[in-house]
Amino acid sequence: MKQLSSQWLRRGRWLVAAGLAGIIVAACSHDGGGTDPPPAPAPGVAAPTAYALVLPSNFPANPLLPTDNPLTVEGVDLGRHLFYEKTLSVDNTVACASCHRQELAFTDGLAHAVGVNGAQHPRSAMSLSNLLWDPLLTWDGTAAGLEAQARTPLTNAIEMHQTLAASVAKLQAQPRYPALFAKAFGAGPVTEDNLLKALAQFVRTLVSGNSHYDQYRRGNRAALSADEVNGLQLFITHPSPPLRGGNCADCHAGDLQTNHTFVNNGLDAAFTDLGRATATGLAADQGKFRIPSLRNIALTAPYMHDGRFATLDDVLAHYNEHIAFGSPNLDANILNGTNSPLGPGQPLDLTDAEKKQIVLFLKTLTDSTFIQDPRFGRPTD
Amino acid sequence: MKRYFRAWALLGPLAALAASGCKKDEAAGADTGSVSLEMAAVVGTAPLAFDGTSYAKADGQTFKVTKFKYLVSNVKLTRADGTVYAAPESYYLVDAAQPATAHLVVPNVPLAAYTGLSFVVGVDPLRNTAGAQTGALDPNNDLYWDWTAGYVFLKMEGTSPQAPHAAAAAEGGLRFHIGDNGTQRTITFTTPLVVAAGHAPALHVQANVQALFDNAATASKNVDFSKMSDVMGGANAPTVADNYAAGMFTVSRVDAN
Repeated sequence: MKQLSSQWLRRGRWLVAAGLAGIIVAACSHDGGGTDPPPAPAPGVAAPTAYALVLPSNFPANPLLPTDNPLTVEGVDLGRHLFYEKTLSVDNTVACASCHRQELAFTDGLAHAVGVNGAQHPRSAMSLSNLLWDPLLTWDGTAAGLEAQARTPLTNAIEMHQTLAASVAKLQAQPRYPALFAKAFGAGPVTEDNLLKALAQFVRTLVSGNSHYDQYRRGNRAALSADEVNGLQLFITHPSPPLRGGNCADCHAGDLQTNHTFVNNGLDAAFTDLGRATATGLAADQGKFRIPSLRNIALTAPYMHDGRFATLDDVLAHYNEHIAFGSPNLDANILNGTNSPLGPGQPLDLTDAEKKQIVLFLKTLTDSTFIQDPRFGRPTD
Repeated sequence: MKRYFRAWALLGPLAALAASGCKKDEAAGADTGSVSLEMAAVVGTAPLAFDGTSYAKADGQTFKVTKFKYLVSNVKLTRADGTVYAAPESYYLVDAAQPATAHLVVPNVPLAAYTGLSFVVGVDPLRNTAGAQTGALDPNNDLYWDWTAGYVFLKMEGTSPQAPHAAAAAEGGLRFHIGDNGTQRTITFTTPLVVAAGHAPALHVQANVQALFDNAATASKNVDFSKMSDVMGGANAPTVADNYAAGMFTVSRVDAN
């Protein structure tokens, strides 16, 4: 009981601070049925405590929270330990956190992620934040849900390259883990399912919503400078001559900067990576990749699925001047996005000053609270 | 356990704010029932596919569809005596790429034998300009113009070889984003619909994407992709809205359930 009380005390203090900042609690699960009860306690084991997930008030109110894996304090804590656990890789050298570093908004600063034995991934490690609204994960949407997603990096030969069975055996053999699993999921041996569930729980708590942009959206008009506001205005505006716009928000829509779909953004006329088609097999999906959130984008260079662009200026130059118009399945919003009075078929046609303002706005998406939040860092116990 | 309840008391008012975004279908009372609308997307007579299928308009121009979604609001049911039940707070998002959004439930409908149903494609002017809202009207549903602070009522995106395009491209983009006050259109169906105790009738509705461009009644409103391929509200939006009012929605059947 003492432990339960102190948990509530801790959370209470945090909530008071958060509540004042205009933050609301996600009081519902994805089926709208209210907070799900934590799993039933096993005999002799205390029931886990429901985790009070707190969402910024400017975020959508419908996060995807699977009913068979409700967030619990103990599950999230276990997931955090596992996220930083190198024994989940075949040679005990790579943890999830190796490629998803908190100080880089859970990316690795590399164009191509590096796994065990120095193996290079053809794609760039994605930033992890605000994934509660993404039904399909990874660059190509192969994984539906974070539980399914967790399996790939753990087992993939060029990432951590260890079977879940081997991971479970290693965890079972370490003194701390059987107890942590029992706290989170009830008495019994460590299981593959619970390993994936705990990791998914931790990643669901990685909510980034305190950037200058968020503060501006929640009413603090002083949070952005005049140039940054101009950049925001261009970012959200669809060009429709004479109305000038950056044509960004048709895809990077809303406060999460994504409409959760997959598009071809005109990188190449011919594809070396089929993207979404890898998962669907459809020719119409070739060259399409997930539209990522732009949260903390200034921290997550290099850019695109293969890290081909080193800077945000390079990214803006791509959209403005270097679209491969011959690329199959090129998105309609790019095909038709132009500030040119000549109309559809022309390049985006932003001025250098406008591109600079958009980059200034993108830098306001950096959330320094998120990258320093002790709840997301390497466990100290 | 005292502390437990105090903590939740703190959460209460905040939770109430959030709860509006996720209300459950309320259990029907004894004197009310529910009606559902099952929205299927088609092109002509074929189910809409996002797999690169090429469709043809009446004039032979072809198009592919990559996105088709719209907002439905203000559902009304009409009785034989002319009186109307207007469902309060009836706002729905229909996204052809998300099958779960095709099933619209109108709860708490008074038991009666109705003779028709209507809904608005779009959002009524009052709510359209009330700023960002929740549920179907959540601005994060990809149907919101941040720069005008109003909703996009209907979004169709795709490509067509007849649309203007860069020399290197085989096709141009089709982007029909219809919104702004003045482009709301009411769709009315005349069909017997009996809401009785223990029955939840379902109206199966087909939304025909092709009807955005082909107006059987008024040929002057047909869309020629070589001249109109990028509509973001503005002067051409009412024409497209007239088209979807004229013939996009049809009832394929009614299940009494």
